[in-house]
Amino acid sequence: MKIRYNLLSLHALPQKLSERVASRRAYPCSLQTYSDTKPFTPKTMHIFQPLLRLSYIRPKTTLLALFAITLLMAGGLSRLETRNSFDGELPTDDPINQGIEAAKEVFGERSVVLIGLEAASIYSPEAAQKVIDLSNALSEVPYVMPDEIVSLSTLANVSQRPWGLETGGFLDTLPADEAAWQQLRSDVAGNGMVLDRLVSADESLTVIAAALEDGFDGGVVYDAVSKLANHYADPERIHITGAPVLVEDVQRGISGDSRRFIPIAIVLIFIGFYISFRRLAGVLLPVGMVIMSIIWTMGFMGYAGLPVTVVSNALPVIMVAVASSYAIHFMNAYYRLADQHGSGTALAEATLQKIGLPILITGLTSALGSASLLIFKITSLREFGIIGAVGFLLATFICLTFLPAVCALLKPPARKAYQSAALQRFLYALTQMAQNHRRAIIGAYLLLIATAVFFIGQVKIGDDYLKFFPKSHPGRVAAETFNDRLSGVRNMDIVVDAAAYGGIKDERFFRSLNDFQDYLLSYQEVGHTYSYRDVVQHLSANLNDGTDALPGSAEIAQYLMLHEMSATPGEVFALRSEDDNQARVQVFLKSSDPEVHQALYENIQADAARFFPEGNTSLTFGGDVMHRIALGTYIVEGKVQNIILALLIVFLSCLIIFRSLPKSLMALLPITVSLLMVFGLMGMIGIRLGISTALLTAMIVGVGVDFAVHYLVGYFRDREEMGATEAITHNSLHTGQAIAYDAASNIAGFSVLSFSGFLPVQHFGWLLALSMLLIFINTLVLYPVMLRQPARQRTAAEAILTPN
Amino acid sequence: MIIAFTLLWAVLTAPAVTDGTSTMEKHRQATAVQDLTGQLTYTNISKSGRKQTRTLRQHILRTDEGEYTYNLLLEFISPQDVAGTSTLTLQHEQKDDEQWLYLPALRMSKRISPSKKSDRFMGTEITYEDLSGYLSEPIDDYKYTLMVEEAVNGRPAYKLEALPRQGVRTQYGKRHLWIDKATHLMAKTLFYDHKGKLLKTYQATDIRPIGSGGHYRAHQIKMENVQTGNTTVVQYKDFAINEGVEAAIFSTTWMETR
Repeated sequence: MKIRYNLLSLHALPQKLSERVASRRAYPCSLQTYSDTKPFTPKTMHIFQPLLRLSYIRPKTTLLALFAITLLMAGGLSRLETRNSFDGELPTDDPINQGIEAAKEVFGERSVVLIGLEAASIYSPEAAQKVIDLSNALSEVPYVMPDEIVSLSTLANVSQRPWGLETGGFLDTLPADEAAWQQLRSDVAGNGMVLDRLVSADESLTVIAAALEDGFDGGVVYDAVSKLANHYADPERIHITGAPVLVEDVQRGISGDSRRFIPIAIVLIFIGFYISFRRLAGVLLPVGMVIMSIIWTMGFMGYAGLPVTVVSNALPVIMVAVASSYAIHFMNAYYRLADQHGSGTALAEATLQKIGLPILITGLTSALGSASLLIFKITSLREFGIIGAVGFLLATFICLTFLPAVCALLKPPARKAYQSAALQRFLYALTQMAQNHRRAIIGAYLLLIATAVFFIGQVKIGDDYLKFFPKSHPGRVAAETFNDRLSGVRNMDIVVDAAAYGGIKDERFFRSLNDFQDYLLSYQEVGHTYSYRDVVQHLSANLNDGTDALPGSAEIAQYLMLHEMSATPGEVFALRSEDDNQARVQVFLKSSDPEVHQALYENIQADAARFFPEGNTSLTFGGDVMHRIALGTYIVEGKVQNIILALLIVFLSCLIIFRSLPKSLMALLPITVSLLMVFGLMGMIGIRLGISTALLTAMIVGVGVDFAVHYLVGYFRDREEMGATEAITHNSLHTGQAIAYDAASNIAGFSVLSFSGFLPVQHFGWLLALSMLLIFINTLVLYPVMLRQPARQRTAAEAILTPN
Repeated sequence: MIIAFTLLWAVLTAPAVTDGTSTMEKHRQATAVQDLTGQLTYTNISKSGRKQTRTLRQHILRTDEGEYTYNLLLEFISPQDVAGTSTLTLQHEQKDDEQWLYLPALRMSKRISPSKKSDRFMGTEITYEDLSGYLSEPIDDYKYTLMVEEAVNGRPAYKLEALPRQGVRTQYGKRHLWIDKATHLMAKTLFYDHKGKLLKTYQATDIRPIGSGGHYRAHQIKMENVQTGNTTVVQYKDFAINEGVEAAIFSTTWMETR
């Protein structure tokens, strides 16, 4: 209710300001002498509640209390947990997620780590021994399932010999002579389940695959496997890849680059503050406020059990951008009012009176904008919606208590507020240009918006993890090596339900599955498929002198029995359900492009009826690519809903604040135009809309609404005292200056991230910087264009810029 | 006189002197048979709880080649679609064992390479090395140390440690064995790998006499691989020991023509 009261109080603000109009007109208006010497009256005091008054009346108590709360919230940092896994990202009622879970339930879908051993020839004693040693060593790696390690040294093989059937492993013992090596080559070449899947056709690469337990710790596995790779490398080359490794690579890449670049970005942002204000306090106070905001927010995450994810990892950056925006507006007002007040307390109070309410409003709208992320069905984005909303509210609270409290203790600055003449000239020129060339600007904007809308249609959806890395990154090299020489690193599981107990042993079902797998292999991006069909075909060929005739039901059952007798339960249950009513087809993919996966998924669904026409055979899709397909779908659905909701929230907030439909619609203008431009640019230059870029909306809305509200509140306040043209120019020069400081320091800071070698960080950095620039320009150009009243004379505005 | 009686009383009332090797010798005698038939149902249970159950009939006959070499015929009787699938193992004292596979769908036997000690028996958690111990513990290959007496499932047992002698190739770095005092059957075993980590546990329960020849057998065994989480449970019934098994059945001809 307190918030509502404060918001509604704003409606009275223009009226209060109007009381000062007469005296306001008497002020000399010039670039050098203009200052916001508006006397604050006790009447406006009621806007701020006693809590905020306490900050400057009892500054030491306030600071002590804030310090105590900071210590308390810092306690939450130790409770912070990291969630790297994508498990649980999708809603439980999602059909794709239900399919993934159903496949997991029956077949125990596993994440698989792949170790590739690359040598001149893997058929050498040294290389073969390393395959054996690596397979043994992998069984000691935490979370690796010892009976689900697949390599030449663990896999059972059935090969025909003149005397009968050889049923051992490929590398139970090292071949002793050339004939034995030739036999091994021949066994591998004759086993379709091994050639191209475990061993490359050119004999230079072999794979050791290890399945991981559910709930594995990606970091622990990554470290242990990397250690093995280092130990066994040389002269052979050891590659490590697989979805868990790639995800960890992404996580480490983002975290590593973030750790390197974000501090530099933050330092640059605050150097920007110094350049803006030319005072140490102008830097230290925002720094203190931003650090406190981050500690409070991350402490809240710890206490609330919200983990650090690939999304919430971006929190410090976003908090720096948004929280420093609050601080910069406060400090800008503080320095402007400095020469009007003799004591720190009076100056703090005046600053709070002048800028407190717009900051409160922008804090609330930013929080609501962040809360709009709750519309996403992706867990980490929903969580970030909550974190952002709470974080922005906390930052607002800290800004409105910490900064006045410190300012109240400081002596008012002796020097006048720093004003950059160049910036003032630029702002003036921009405003004049906007006002004088309305039609041309509107035309240009319409053209830009049309172009943006066109390119938005071409935005690619989903994250291509492989393309995240630079070309020389070991994770990318490994994945590309596997894609080029073997069957690929990504996999889709298709569970085919025969709808009857033991149904997969039926020869008709087997034939259908056989045709279905051949169909899957006809896709260029499908490197390999693997199911019990391959086991049965291999045994059939070896037991029947190489025949490729399809077996009958009895043979299928007995070949499967034979497989059971030599394979581990893990291998058996990876292919068949307990009741033999479901079969799992593993589809290995050479592409990591989520849109290729999506198209393949849709094609298979459309074509399945050709192979299983009875109508009672259902396909269920699982595997790591399905997670990404579902994530992509939700990102698109959620993004559209999120943008609409965020704009709606901003609109409704502005409607409450301004009590005017046109003004509220106007508040949406720079945000909407900036959103269209950023997404249009993404479509034009091929930046994908993924989990991390989805956050850009929150940033654009969060920062954009700040700029819009500050501009509009400033304008309407000035409008009470002066004509439209004069108010536009006056506001653009003064509120515009704070907006410019904010935008410039953020642009400088976030541009640093574009030097990252890691694509998501790079894109995030420069898109963020570009977004800041666009919001700034759109605010400072579109509002003068929209607010200008042509009939009015411009003399007042010109007077402002005329030296005394 | 009193001293003499005292000594005699002491000798008569002292517990029977036993050591690891003699305990294991008694165990080997208790498990050794001339022939054995029976039906067994094994269930493989994966770590995630998925089960696979098969029933087969076993025929075992001691050969003339050595005291502890056997011929084994295993014939699946359920599920129906694999009924008749059989494996024949002919153990040899001086040369490699022979193994044959018969698949009814092919109506012919195929010779298959002999299983290695570490190979899994019929896909269960029991290896061929465990199986040979089940028929006759290779006591010359191990050094046994009697540790304590300790009950297993309420039955008194000797606990021993079995360490492989130098040069013996085995999957296990050591085993802890519990030999049932009354029947000298293996009641429990802990198998450790070469790094000293527990690998598998074996438990035998439902120990009952078979026929009137003084033989006992556990009617349920459970082998759990603690490293993989997989388990095999075997239920036995219709044991017949030393009641005569026709030698002719241990041939490929018999499998193909019966």
